[in-house]
Amino acid sequence: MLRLSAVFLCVLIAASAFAGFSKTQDFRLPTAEEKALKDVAYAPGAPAVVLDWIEIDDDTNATSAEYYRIKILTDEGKKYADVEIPYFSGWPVNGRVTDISARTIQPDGTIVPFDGKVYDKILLKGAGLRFRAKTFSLPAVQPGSILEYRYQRRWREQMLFNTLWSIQRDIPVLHAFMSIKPYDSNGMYRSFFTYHNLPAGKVPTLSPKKTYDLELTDVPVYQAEEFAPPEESLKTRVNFYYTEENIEPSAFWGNQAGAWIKQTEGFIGRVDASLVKPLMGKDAMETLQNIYAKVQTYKNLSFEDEPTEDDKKNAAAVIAKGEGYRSEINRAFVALARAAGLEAHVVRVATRDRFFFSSNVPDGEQMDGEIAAVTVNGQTHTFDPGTPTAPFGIVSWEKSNVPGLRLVKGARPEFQSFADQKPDHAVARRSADLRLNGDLLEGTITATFIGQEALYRRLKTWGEDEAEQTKSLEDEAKTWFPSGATVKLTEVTGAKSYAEPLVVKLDVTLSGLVSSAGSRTILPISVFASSGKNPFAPATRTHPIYFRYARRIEDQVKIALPETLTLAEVPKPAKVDAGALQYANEVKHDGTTLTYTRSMSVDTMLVEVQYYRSVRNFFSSVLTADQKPLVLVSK
Amino acid sequence: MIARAFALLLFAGVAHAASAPDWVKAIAAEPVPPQPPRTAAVVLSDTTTLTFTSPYDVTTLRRRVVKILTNAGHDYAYGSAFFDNNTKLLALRGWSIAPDGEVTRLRERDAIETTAASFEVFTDARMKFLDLPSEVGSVIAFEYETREKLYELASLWPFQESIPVLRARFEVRTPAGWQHHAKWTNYAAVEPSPGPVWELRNVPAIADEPRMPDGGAVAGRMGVHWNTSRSWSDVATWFHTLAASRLAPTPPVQSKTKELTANAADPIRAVARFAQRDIRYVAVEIGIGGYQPHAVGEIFTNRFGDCKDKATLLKAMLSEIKTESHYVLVHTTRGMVDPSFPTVHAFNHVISAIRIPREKAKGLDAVYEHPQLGTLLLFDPTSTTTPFGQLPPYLQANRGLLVMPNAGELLELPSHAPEASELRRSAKLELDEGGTLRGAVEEVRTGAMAASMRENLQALNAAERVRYIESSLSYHLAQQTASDVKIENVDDPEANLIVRYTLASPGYATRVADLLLIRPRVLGTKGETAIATADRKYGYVTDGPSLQSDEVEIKLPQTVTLDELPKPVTLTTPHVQYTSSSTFDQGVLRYKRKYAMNTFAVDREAIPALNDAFAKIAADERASAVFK
Repeated sequence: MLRLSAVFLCVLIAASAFAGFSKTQDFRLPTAEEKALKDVAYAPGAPAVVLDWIEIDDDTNATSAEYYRIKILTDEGKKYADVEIPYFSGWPVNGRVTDISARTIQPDGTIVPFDGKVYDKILLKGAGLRFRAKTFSLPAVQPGSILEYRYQRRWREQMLFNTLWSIQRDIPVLHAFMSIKPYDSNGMYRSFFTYHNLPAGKVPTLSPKKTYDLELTDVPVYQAEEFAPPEESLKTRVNFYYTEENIEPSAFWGNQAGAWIKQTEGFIGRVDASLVKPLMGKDAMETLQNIYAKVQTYKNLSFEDEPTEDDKKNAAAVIAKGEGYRSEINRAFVALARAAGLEAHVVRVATRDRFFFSSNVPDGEQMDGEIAAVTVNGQTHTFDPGTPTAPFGIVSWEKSNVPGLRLVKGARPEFQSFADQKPDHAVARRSADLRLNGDLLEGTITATFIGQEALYRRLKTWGEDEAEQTKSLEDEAKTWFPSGATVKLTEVTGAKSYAEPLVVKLDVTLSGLVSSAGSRTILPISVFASSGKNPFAPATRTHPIYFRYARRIEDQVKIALPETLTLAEVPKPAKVDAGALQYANEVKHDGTTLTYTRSMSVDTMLVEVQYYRSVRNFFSSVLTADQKPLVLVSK
Repeated sequence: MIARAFALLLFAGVAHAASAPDWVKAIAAEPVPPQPPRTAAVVLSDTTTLTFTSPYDVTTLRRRVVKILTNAGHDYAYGSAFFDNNTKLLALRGWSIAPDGEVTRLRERDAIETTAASFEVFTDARMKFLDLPSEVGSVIAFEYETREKLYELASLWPFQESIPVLRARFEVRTPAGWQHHAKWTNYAAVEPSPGPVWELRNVPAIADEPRMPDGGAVAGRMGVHWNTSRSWSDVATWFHTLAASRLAPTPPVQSKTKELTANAADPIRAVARFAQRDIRYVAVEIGIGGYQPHAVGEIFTNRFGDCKDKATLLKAMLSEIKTESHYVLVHTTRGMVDPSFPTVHAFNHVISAIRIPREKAKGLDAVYEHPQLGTLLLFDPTSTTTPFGQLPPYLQANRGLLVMPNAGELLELPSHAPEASELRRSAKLELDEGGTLRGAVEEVRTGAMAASMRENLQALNAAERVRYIESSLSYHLAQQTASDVKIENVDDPEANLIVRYTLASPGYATRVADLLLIRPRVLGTKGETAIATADRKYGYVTDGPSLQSDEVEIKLPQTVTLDELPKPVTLTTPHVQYTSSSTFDQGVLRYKRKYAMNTFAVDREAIPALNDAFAKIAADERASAVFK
């Protein structure tokens, strides 16, 4: 299915009369309830509140009228009196914003009409398009004021756009009414809604006037939180799409997969078996490793700054030129695997970095990622050859643990979860060899990043020079220690290689870790995590907790003590078990050297909000265990 | 969907294969000497040619050639030009020469145009931007030409930047007989050749160091006055003339002033408070409107305006109560105003200097004793979180031009004493047998400490404020909950900002062998960021003067007996004073400390002593008391 973003329609009918504002958008005096409103019970402390928001979209007449009624509750809320209405001017949209009117109702009821200037600001202009904004500021605004403003957007009637009602704001919305009159194409186009996080029982409904209407009350404020799923997956929204294809949404994915199979199989084609002859190994897995190694050497144009090369026509062209865009390289890998006699397919996956997949939303762009699935000895293995430096068998995190469709010619595709990666696939291993010198810890650190942990760091600095990569890794290491640590990177290996772990060696002088308790010396039990903080400090939580990928951290620290000092007591091993979250540490002391080991693993991706307390307690317990003091006393 | 279509169009089909002009080819052919490690790009040549077509009409031709040395250097692969209603952009062209010699040319119509500032509701200041293709080894060149009507016969030549400049040239064609008066800032003066033409070779990059002064304040630049030299009085008089016609009060302004001051114990404060809090900051700057305030009546009716509008309304209202006040032109970045080069371009903000009786200055920090005008109170009505009587931190220890009717004077703005910005934290806590710490905490903030926290809190709703407090505690406590969080006076800059909460921290005390370890410092860190001094070029910018104190009481279980207390600490350096002490008496562990920072800036040479002080403070903060 093709979504029409800016499709020219040959509109034969003449433009109808100006739609105008409806009565619901007439300015009106405040009610006693509105006058008395000083705070919103479900959003205490909100700087302002939208009392009423009305949006009337008319795709037949290419207009959209909006009305806002906002009460200012605090000084901070006065900023909502600055209004900016963006629009595209110029060809081909020819957008305009017209019929702007506004007024301020002061707390004593005095009405101050807006008769100031509306400015037309250029936000961006270039390459034939003009993105502008009408801006104005309402006068005489103070806490207690009610602002009213309305305007109309118009655009070229030959343009048909999808519509987004982004309902959730940074201030509460007490009442919202949205309506859309779809473009009547006499059956040429279908239209459909998708919606997310609407209150139970609320959906756009068809009115006798053939408009789709949605009325909502008491829309909560969107609350941003750390470790939350992508914002797009959380905010309340409604999308209204047009489609050229006359199919039911329930049949959508079957049709879509058919189109993808045709496209990918056409691209993969059949490559000459002689191409894989030099890559054949002693068994299927070794052959696969050799093929993977080969395609990882290809120039990946998707990760170039400004690639100008054209798309390749087929896998053979990718192999011949040794370059391609990410999906082209993925398909070339599949083609070579098949040429080697292996059962290999492209898997279309729903990436989860920007939003979460919903099969109820018939939008193919949700599944914008590709990986490869190869069956060896009856087992399916997934690969990500289209991501540079992705280790063999590791797919980039946004394509892991996601629904996907294996594109098999002649087979009915079904959603399956692909690339379910575990903590073993993302390991950060840090080992420190230190000596206590006065109030400093000095020595060397080797950090080894394996699997996803290596890939994540390689991609973070992809395209940067060696010096920038070094700085990035050094800066990351500095965050492990308190301020004042001297950290100098001495060696990096595996920064550009898919086949090796990323290994970072550092010389360190750590201040701020050793402290005193009277005449005794105190060391934190964990050198690497002593200055950490609980990422889940707030006692309450609104959204689920989202870890990007399962991972494990393994630390080993050896500290050589001065001959004069010894450990007052070897602490008991600590263990925190919260199911998918695991932590353990242990200290050993052989008389001259302390050896500390620590491991923490996260074997989950999404934790529902009702389990927040458990997660918070886990990280609190980890921090307590990490910061447990080791007391050194004179021998 | 529109955005995506737009992006595709932006990057599609705008490059034109061509050859580069001879001036670009010649510069690109010159060898580039070795550059310091991690140099992203190097400016091969940057020339600016001004041609005066009449005394206040000037055309500018700028030609710049950059070589990209690393991937990070792609940020320099652009061409750009600023313009507004007073400056017409006549031409903009750019070229990119790839390492293999292939040339891409972009023309003005390929440029992206955008507004040049984001804080205004509207400004006529705009820029055009050419996004030139690049790879490591590419040579990027652009030229633009503008025609401008000058507000003053002065030019600024900022020649030093974040990458090295091999050759910088400033050439000026003036009417016959014109003199020039050049002043150099942060760079050794160079004599011009006839023209005049100034040329510099091998200008080093501005070092990028943590906690350094703003790059603009340390960058080398030259300012030139054309024909005649210009004094600060000239600049002040020019501004005063612009503003004077806007000051006439309207009847509603007069009426409001009467209303505000009728029963006010301090009429000046009442009027200042109105300008600060009831006039919303909204900037509309078009043409001369970047310098000239709106009319008082318009500002009052709209209840909005920019900094100069707020200062203008305040001046008019003060005049109604027979109080003299003056504009003060300032720059919000410390170090940008060079006293040796008077120009209106030195400033980006306007505040007020209010003449007050000397006896009324008691308790006010932002006071300037002027030999002729007497006691002046400096007040920034734009800063809604700064209390009356103080300056916001960015204006302290800064410079400002006092604007008088026919004169002007550059003032050294005061830096407030640490006592003007306090954080007083007190905690009455109790440790139970299980090691959980519980009790009440109160934090009182004044001055800049309060203003800074107010700015954070004002943008948050009630639930977010509680989370903000909880998150801030997690920096100091492994396990914690804050309940009964109460925050007072978030919106009143003149009252103390008070935060109260009940703290619970399980596992606070740790048992090791037969010892019970308790950290007397429960909350807060005082020292700032320690920084490496090797190869350090610039001084250190602190968080600003403040006085911070903690008083913590922890009632301990009766079963414990004292073994050892942390040693008291007393530190006195030129910039930092710190004392702390722990006592144990009648079952109560008491911790008291006081930290004072007395400056905004520490010289490069004094950084090691500062680091040492911060390290000792951090050690004190980690120290534990030992009980059995």
